Amino acid sequence: MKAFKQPFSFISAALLCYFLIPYLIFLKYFNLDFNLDYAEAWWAFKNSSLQAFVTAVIVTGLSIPLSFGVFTLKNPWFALTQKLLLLPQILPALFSILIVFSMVDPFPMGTTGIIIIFTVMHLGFATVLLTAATQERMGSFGLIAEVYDVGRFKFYRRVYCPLMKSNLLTIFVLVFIFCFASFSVPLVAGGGRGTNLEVLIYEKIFINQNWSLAWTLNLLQSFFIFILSYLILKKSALPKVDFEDSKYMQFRLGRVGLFIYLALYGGGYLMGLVKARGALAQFQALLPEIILATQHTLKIMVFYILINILLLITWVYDYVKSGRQNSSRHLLATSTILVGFSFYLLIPETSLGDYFKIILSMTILFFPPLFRSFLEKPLDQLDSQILTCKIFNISTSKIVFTVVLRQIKKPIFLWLSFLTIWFLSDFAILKSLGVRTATVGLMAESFLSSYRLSLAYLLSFYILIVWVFTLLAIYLLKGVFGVINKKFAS
Amino acid sequence: MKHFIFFLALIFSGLSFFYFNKEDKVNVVEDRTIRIYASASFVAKWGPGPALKELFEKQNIFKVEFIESPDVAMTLQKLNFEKQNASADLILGLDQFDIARSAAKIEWRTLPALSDDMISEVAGALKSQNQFMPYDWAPMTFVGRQDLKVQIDQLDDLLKPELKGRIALQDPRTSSPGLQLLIWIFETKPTEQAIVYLKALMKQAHSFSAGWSGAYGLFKNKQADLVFSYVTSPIYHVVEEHDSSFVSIEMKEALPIQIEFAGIPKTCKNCEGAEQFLRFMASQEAQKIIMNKNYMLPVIERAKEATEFDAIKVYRTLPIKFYDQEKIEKWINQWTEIRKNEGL
Amino acid sequence: MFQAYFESIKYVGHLLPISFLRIFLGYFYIDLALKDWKFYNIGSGGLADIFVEALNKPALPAWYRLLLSEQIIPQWHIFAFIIIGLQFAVGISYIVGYVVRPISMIAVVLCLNYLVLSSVDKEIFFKLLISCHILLAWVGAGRCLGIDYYFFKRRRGMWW
Repeated sequence: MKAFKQPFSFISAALLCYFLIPYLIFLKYFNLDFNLDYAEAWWAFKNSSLQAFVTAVIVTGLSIPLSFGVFTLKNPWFALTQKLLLLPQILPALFSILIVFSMVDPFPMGTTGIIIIFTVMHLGFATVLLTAATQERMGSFGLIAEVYDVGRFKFYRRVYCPLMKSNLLTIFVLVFIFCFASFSVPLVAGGGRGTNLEVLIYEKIFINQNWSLAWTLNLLQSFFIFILSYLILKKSALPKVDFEDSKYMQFRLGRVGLFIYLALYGGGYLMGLVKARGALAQFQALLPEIILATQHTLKIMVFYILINILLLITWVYDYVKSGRQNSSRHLLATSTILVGFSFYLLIPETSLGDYFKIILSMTILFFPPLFRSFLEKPLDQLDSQILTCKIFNISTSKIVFTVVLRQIKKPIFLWLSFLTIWFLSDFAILKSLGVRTATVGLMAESFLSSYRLSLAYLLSFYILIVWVFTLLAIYLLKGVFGVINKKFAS
Repeated sequence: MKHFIFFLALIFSGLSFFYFNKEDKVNVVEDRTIRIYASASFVAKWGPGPALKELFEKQNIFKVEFIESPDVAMTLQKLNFEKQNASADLILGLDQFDIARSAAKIEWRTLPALSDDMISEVAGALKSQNQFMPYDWAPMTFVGRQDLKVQIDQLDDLLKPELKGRIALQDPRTSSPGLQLLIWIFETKPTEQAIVYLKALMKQAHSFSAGWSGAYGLFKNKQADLVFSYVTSPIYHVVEEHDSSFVSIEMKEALPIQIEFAGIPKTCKNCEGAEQFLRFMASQEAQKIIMNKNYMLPVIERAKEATEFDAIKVYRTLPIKFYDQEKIEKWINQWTEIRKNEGL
Repeated sequence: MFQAYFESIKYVGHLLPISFLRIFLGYFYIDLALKDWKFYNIGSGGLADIFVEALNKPALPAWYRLLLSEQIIPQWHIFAFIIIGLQFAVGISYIVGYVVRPISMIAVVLCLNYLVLSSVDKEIFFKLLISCHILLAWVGAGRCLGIDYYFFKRRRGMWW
């Protein structure tokens, strides 16, 4: 693609600027303050890295047998299990913490405790990610190996690991980054090692009201993650292949592990729900407000999805045009509180402002990591096709819409479903944005901060139902568009 | 096509930019609207906000507009930036620490005496300053269940071996109640003893949550036997859950108190309305609403008579103090040092 | 691009009179947009009044009346913002002669909207204005004394 590389692309720069908006705002309002306690920052950095590294190793390792466990299932269980595996990602961190505390009693506080909670929180997500990646990459290698009777372990060693290396690395880095920038878990389960960089950032704001220092720390944290992502996550352009299931890709013990994981987590959650049934009357009394909040949420979500799709089209257009992925893909863990604050500072508190704030912040925070998880690889795999199209002088927009987007429909759907879950269930961002429009996420947050844990449990269950219906709606729309497309094509 | 779309996008983004940066934006706000920044739980339907708004608007010509404040630190910083353009008329939910920290950064209006019958515990807060009005308060102590096997009468009892790893606490670096506990320990014990005590308390703590809700959640989930919370917390369970098994524990040491204040920034647009609202907040009816919805004690005499709150024994409390930044930082640093060395 | 701007007089000189009409219309739209913007910031008058007054117009189609009362007036801020933005877009586009053809189609839609909204005595004016916009789109008025010429020379096509 080098021959087509352009020295400067306006779209690339505009995209990068979009994701850098919070940084630009802070640059305008604050000066960098390097008057840090370096020993303290280093200590926090060491804690963050240690916890995140060990968790990432364990989660990546465990996700392999669990993903083989997923392959032993047939539809609809295959799809349902994947949705259930996302449960720990959807629920507020506090719920996961409570469930893990109930599961592991007595709970080992300290680094071990943090790692246990992190593992439970991210294992499901990593398994779903790996299952999707395996379907993309493995093709019929499993089946061929089975026909040639290569042997299970030789297959893992010689075929699976080399092929999936880059995907496993992606999962490793993503889990590492999520844990690295986590806030509440290290404090609750942390013992002395509970201090990480995110806690330090919050401390600078809460105790000293020193925003400059908090912003400097965030910049250091983002820079570290940027470098990590830049150095480790290299492009791999193996073409996408059709997946054939095989005996080697199935692992019964993995299925057992999967069910234990789901039973423990889901069971813990169900227990919470059962205990919360006493608050059902209160919940019913609040139903009109909840429905109103749902309407607001859905309204904002439509715009949010549209903006994300627009961003994706721009991104793909830029990729086709310039031959390289936008650099903002390395912006994987911007501090939630600082993004929230930058928009809180800049955008007025009107309902229109709320729309802007929510959509801007959520796209900035969620687009890069989810693009990284689901779309980057499939896009890279189309490199050779894009090159061929360019040689035939096919226009860029035609390449984007008819060649690229059509071939990555499945990952786009997966990406969209994650965008919606994260949108529906994010409580921390909405709170730090100072949003006035009542949304379900915000309601759950205010339940949690005012004795009403039971109501928060019930609301989280309601959010799950809304999510499933939203996915159904997206799936239906996808089908409708498919039919319309085919009609026009014929 | 793309030129056309780009052109339109450029025009609209330019217009949006001017819209959000226009100078006279605040003039649009009607003079009769009072814009009040308050926490999410204050503004929520189950919080005191809606009821207060309804009653106030019935009695006055002013309209009340609540704006959810994500975090007091953030709101204060926003006010500091916006300066004259700030549209806030009244800020609710400030505590002693916020006042100490924000005093220098933002200019506040001096308030006239808004109520004559403030109760003695909070009246002290008005002696040293006249810019913030207290509107609710509660002593803080440890809350447990009635079937708690351990007898607790004083801070030292928390170190009993039966309570090892069973107390849910808050991190003083990220939460106000956490800071209250830390200051309480340093205020009631000489520094050397306080440090020794803190070291021992680390082993008793189940965990240090980022905020009050985390710690309370652990306690409610029976992960911990005790939680540091408000004296009024058990009332919530009695009123809303009909569960009287929670008790707040009386200590030999005088308890620290958490007071919530309201303040009017000097940049207020409807200062008269804001003052009127403050006066209203100090009235009997408003105090009753705040007490019943916020589960905090009223600041004026007689408001809690013949309610569940009357049954709360008001324990001996520490006099209210506004601590300076250096002192708080010193204590926090000591806490961090102890926590660092204690941990795994 | 600058060179092409003036070069256009030489090569597409027959469109020069039309480009003066275009620039004048551009000035008219910017002036209109600025006035509306002022009212918009005050929060009343301008477009807000036009929307409300239109409800009293007897000849208003039923579906438009419904749209006006149910959607536009409750959220007049958003709609007024869009209309003002489009007015600015038309004004700037006409003055600099950039993307005149598609923009004049938007101008036609804006005029149609005004035709429905405003009082009967202004109908002739808006009809005339519509014919002007169609004329500008037809001849590609941005090609003379306009940036469109630069793109027309290189790319051709119906957009310039």
